[in-house]
Amino acid sequence: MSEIIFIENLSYTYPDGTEALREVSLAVAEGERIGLVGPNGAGKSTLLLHLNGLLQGEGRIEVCGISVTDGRLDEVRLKVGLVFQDPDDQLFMPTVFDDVAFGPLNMDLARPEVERRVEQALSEVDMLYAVERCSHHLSFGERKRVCVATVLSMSPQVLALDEPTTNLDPRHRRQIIELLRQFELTTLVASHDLDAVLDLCDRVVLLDAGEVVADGPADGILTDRALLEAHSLELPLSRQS
Amino acid sequence: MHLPEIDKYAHLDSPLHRWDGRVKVACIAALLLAVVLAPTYPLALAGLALAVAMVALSRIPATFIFLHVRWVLLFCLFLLVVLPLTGGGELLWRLGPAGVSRAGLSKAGLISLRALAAVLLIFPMMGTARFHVTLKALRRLRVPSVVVQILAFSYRYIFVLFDELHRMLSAARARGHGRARRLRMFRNVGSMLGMLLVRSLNRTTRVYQAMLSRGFRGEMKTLDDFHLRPTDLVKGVLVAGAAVLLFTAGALA
Ligand SMILES: Nc1ncnc2c1ncn2[C@@H]1O[C@H](COP(=O)(O)OP(=O)(O)O)[C@@H](O)[C@H]1O
Ligand SMILES: [Mg+2]
Repeated sequence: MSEIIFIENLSYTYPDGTEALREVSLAVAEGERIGLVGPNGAGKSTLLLHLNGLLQGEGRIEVCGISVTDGRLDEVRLKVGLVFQDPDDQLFMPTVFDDVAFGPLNMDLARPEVERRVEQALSEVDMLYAVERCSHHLSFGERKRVCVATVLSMSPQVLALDEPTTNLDPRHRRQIIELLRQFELTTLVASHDLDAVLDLCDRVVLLDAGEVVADGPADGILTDRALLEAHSLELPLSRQS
Repeated sequence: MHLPEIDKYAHLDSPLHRWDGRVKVACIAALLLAVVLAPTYPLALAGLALAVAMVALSRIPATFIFLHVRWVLLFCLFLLVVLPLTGGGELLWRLGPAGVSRAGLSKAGLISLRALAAVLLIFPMMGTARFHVTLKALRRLRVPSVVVQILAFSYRYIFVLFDELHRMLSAARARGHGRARRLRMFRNVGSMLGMLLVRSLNRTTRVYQAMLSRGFRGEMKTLDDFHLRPTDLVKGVLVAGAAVLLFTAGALA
């Protein structure tokens, strides 16, 4: 089975009664880059939080053949690199080095290996120059890139990013898109930046009100004006004529 | 927004900057304790002299020190006014209905000297290395992990919190102007504080999720670079010796 993520009939209701996911099913093949799109509140972030068991709903979910349930969360969390939307959530350590080393240290790797991984992850996102800096002294765009490095250093099988381009100026937005394009990892991008998704992803899953309403090739779904407008989205700028 | 950054001058070079963090923090903390306990004027003055010498040695600019010490000076001034007036006992001068008590004045002076010396010692102790290095030193000195983590997270998130507060204030300011604005703002302070609290709680949830995502299992692991050299020990013996001397002299006095 070449499916790296397998989700079947996943439903999740927040403690306050909000039904955030309803019967979501999704299979992702290794190496695929998938855009998870949908209006605000569609359930994109909630779905990402299920990938490594931070939230556990009803239904079946497997990553790399490992069922995401209580007994095996430690394993799953090594496979899925989850990058949160707000860099101030992702970067909680005093320095960039400590943040990027956090994952590898939890993997109980030896010091030289930790250092090697930190250096490599930071050079992949072009942030090696900031290794000794404090994250609160970095610009927003720099912090976003360090966020990606904090999971790259764990060598995950799946990269899951929540709104990677939100709040970035055009130049930094471009930078992060180019960066993500280089990776050959299986990638899930939750975003309502449809232009970025179109640039990055081959396949798009459209969520609305917790349900999958469309799943198919990116240039099919993202050019379907009627479909997008029915779900409070607009055609990507590059497809508006 | 200006925020107090104790480690602003951590990049300088001085004997204190070069000193191993573990020995430095432990020895200066001992000295600080001895200074706070100094029972007589000569000992408190000696403590202050040591503190001033170490600050000078650290090369941290005097303006920076003053910026942070002025609040302590204000506190000392307050003591110097209040204690003599309420001290009782033998009076030095009479000022109408009140009098200046000798015991009160002497006590206020002693407390002021100790407070000033103690606060000055914070700078060579905490201001001569990056804060996260100092935290690692604390951890190595067996300060409980919970305490060190609380310090680390506070230091990391105080900046975020201030940013959020700043944004909320600007938003409130943008919604109106003049007197009416100020009134409304005060009325809104309660709700803003509430909002800040809710945001902080949400943030802690998300930060914890981010930690779990990266394999956190309850134990904070970090790397550090402490290497003990002979000079570290020499400095340690000097400062710890001063502390012991002060302390013994105080106990005998
Ligand atoms: N912690 C929470 N508690 C209660 N409801 C939540 C929480 N987080 C999100 N929700 C709700 O769940 C739904 C899906 O949210 P989310 O997954 O964040 O959407 P998206 O990321 O697509 O914008 C929304 O209706 C949202 O209000
Ligand atoms: Mg979201």
